[in-house]
Amino acid sequence: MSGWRPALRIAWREARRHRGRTALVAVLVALPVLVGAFIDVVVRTADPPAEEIVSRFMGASADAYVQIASCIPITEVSYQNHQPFWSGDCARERPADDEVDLAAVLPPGSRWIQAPEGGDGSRFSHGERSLRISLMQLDTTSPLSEGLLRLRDGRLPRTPHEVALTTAAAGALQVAPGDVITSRRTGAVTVVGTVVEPSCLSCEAVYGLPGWFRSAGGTGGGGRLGGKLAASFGSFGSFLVDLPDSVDPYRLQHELLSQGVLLAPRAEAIDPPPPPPDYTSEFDGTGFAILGLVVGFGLIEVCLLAGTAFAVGARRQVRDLGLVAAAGGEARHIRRIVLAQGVVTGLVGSLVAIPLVIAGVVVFRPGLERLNGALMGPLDLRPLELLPLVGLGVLAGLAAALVPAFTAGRLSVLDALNRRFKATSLAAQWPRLGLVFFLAGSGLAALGSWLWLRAEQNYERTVNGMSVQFTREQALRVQSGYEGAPSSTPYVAMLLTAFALAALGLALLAPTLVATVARAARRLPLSARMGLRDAGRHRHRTGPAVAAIMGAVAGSVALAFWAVAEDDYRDRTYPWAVPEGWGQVGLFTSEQDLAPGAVDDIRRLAPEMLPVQDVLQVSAVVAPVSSGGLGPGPGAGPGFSPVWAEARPQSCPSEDGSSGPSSGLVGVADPATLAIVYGQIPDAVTSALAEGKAIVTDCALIGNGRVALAYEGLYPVTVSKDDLPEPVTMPAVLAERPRYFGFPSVLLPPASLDRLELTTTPGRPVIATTRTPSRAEERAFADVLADRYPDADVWVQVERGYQSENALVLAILTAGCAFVTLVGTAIAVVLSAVEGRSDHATLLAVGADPRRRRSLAMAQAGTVGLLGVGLGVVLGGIVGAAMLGADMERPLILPWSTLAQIVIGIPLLGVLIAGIFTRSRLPMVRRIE
Amino acid sequence: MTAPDLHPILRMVNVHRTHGRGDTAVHALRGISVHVLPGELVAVMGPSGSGKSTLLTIAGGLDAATSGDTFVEGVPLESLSRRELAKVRRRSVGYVFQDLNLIPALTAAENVALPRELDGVSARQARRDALAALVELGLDDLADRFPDDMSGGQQQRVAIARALIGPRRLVLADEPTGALDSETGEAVLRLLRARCDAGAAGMLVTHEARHAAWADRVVFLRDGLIVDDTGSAAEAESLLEGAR
Repeated sequence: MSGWRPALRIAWREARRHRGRTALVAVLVALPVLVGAFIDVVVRTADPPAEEIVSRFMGASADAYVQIASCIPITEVSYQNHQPFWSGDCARERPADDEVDLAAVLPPGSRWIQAPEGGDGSRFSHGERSLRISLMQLDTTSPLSEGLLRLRDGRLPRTPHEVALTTAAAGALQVAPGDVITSRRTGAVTVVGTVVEPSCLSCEAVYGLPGWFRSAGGTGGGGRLGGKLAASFGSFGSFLVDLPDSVDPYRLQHELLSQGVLLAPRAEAIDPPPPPPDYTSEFDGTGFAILGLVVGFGLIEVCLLAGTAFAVGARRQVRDLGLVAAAGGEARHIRRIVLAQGVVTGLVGSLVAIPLVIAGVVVFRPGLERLNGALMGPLDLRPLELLPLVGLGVLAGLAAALVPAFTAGRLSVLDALNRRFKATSLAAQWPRLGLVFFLAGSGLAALGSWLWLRAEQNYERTVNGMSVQFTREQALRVQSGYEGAPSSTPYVAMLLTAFALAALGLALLAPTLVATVARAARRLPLSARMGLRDAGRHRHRTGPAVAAIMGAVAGSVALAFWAVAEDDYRDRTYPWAVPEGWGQVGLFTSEQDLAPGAVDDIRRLAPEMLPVQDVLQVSAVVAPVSSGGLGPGPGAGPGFSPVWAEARPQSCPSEDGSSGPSSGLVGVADPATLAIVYGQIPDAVTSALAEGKAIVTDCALIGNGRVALAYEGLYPVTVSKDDLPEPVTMPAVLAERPRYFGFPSVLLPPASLDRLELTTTPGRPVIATTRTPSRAEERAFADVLADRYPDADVWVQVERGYQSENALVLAILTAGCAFVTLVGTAIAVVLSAVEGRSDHATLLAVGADPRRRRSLAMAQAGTVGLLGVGLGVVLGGIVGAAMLGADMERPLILPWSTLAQIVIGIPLLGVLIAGIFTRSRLPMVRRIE
Repeated sequence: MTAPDLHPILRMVNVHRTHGRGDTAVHALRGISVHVLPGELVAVMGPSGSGKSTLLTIAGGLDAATSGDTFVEGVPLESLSRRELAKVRRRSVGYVFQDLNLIPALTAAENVALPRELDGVSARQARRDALAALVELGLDDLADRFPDDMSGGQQQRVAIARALIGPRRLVLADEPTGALDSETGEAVLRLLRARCDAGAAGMLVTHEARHAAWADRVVFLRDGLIVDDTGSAAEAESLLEGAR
């Protein structure tokens, strides 16, 4: 410790003497601590304590949560995020019209209210604004409702004509307490307050007392989900219950299970039993590898940027270090002084970061809650998680000071005293080492890419070889069961290692490259010449800055390669629902039926608002069932089940290498449908239909001249398998057309329906257009339909093809590059100005224009920026090419737009900013030498 | 009269120092042989580029001779590693430069204590030793001041205190008065003289004769060679005795 004491003392005093440099380095070093601590505190705080989570759905005072299940008895109760749900096999379905009398199942003295449940909605209007809002019922006059809602303004409803809106709904409608809103379903009601649902801040809902609206299920004023929808959601109602003190909730829970009633005591919800282990989940190391890469990469960037400042600081301090050596200090003492400055700066930055994070979470809490979509819990600080982050900051400071420390330690005493910086024999090896690393990394990237591609190709050959017996999807499943798809983990590890090696190599080469480029300065104008030579002479600060910029740009360019290739792949394999520009309309009631009269309204209204060519309705072939199923059957029973065509073995592979459809819609080959699907009907189709054969438009669905029809129920258990026809195959003919999954892929001859015990039902309306409607036209049409059908779920979707979301990702990457480049450039330019004061004084003395300083700064910024960006593009291109070289589906496409922004835009921005923020005044300083 | 200690603290024998090679080689020292006895202050004079500072840096182990031998308290410096040389600088040799001698981040006492602390002595003991050294030189009121708060002369005197702390017996001063006014420079040299009278050995590089007058002996250098040596005080005494 004795050797560290003077080092720490000097480091602390130096930090206080040079506050500006200390602050700069501390900020850089604190960045990872700031980000990590912020994420940790936000994640922990956003995850409320169990008691609060339970209160959000059970209220603050209820003893238990009771749910009437659609299954009798309940065999299994599980918890997800403290919320109970029943699961397991269902021996008997509760009848759809069953009414459970809670007074009969709960002990005398119990009190309860119904828990709010969604599923019903209506369109409300206020002035010119209208919005479809979920209808909720809650007895807000009961103490049991406390904690379910948080009042923000006004008060809670007390009478049936009073409601409270969630803040999201109130904001959308621009409604305040006292205003009146109207819907066809409820009439006019008065908004008396605004509330938030703690777990859903963005939910648009309106709360009133029980009975304030009539449920669309028609099962009474209780507002419960009724009928098929209730059965499909598995719940016939939920309640918050207050039990008498004498009642054992766990014994009651056990008793009620046999009646199909789930009772979850509060204590059990707060501390639920652990779920059974999931034996099917496998550890995927790729995610951790990538996380490690991102964290490590961020640290390296920080160390490089901060290292630039440390390198300059060590240079300015070199005479002091020489004095220590002259007084008997050894190389280790010298290193300790520089390293101690790294420790001190890292500690200062980290300790400042923590209070900043706390303040940030407190100040930005409302915004964070909005992003989170739910209220956050109390501020949750975990020292055992924050302390390692502080340690990380200290480590970053230490790492940033490492190279300057060892460089200073290797200087001879005399050189240090005379401020002479000679290249040591070790430093002379760096460029060679850098070249070796770069070539090794590039070679490893190429090798990794080739090996990965070969593994994928072998796998593909094996799967294709199974096409005699299996469809492609079946083959993939079977192969996964035997050997599994080739794991990407080792190849990803190879590419990451290659990236790290090549990056390290270029970082070691950077100072030499700077010096090499500087030799070309002779022909340049004065400022550019001086800027380039300054960069070359002071490689100790230029090198790390260039390396930092290179790292950030390389990562962004590699990701840009991937993003562009991904967009191309997604565009080629996009599953079109209908032709481009056409629209689909959904207009369903709560029973999932098409609203009566909807198609006629669409035919009438659409041409007024959209560029309509025709409004089509393609019938779907269905199997009538006696119970359950979708919608009311066309006079053949209470419901129907969809019919699908299954993918066949020996079917054709898709051109784009994708799996192809695993199933297709089945329609009837009537003249209207044929006209929609084909336009001009091919002769082969006419002949096939005459022979009683089915028409198949997608080769994946036909095999050996036959198509297979299958039937399945809607949602978990509503249709008994006994009620469905037997799956069949029938002769078919392939008449291909472009794949649109919104249209039937298989067309059955009309005469075959009776034989197959099938029938048809009208499908979703499709709007054929003459051009692609604008988004405003699309929204306006949807609003008009919603106004006409306030109780239906209305949506309008125009098919626009693949809409890339990578533009935002690329913009963020480019902004990140710009940030690192600007910071690195700024550090290099500022430090150059500090070190070059005597040079500037000489310029002034020989008559240079004061503006020369500005042009010098701009030249230095351009040098550092261009070099860093150039190296980064090379490195990123190597990694991007290696990644895509192994991908059989995504081609290698140059991301020209991103490259242009990075290569031209960012350095130019750095030059302009250097020019704007540099004072055009050369300093007059005393020459000390 | 007590017999003088004739074991030199510093002895340099045929020391050469050449910078560079071939046509660009610069022979800073060409076969210098010099010694300094305990209690002796030797001044080294000569024109610019004569090798005075090089002589001092080799004597203090800050630089290595191209050939020849340098002994400090009988220890040959050429055979020592960098670590061992640092140890010699901590325990045997003190160095005073022309200016900027003190580390700005340390107080006067801490600067003086630095060699002791680097030597592994506890901070408390090292501070005690430093304060004792400052008191001895009449500088105790500067103990807790930073160099920025001291005059040039005060800094040089503190530097001398640091050069002499602990068991060190050899002080090497390279133009210690170069950046000082004449009165302050005289005070610094008086201090140096007093330390040598108390038993230390000193080598002083100067290009001013009035400063050299403080020395017992003056060695003249030109182009890396000793061109004259005034001889020791004992030799002068013996000459005078002989003349009587």
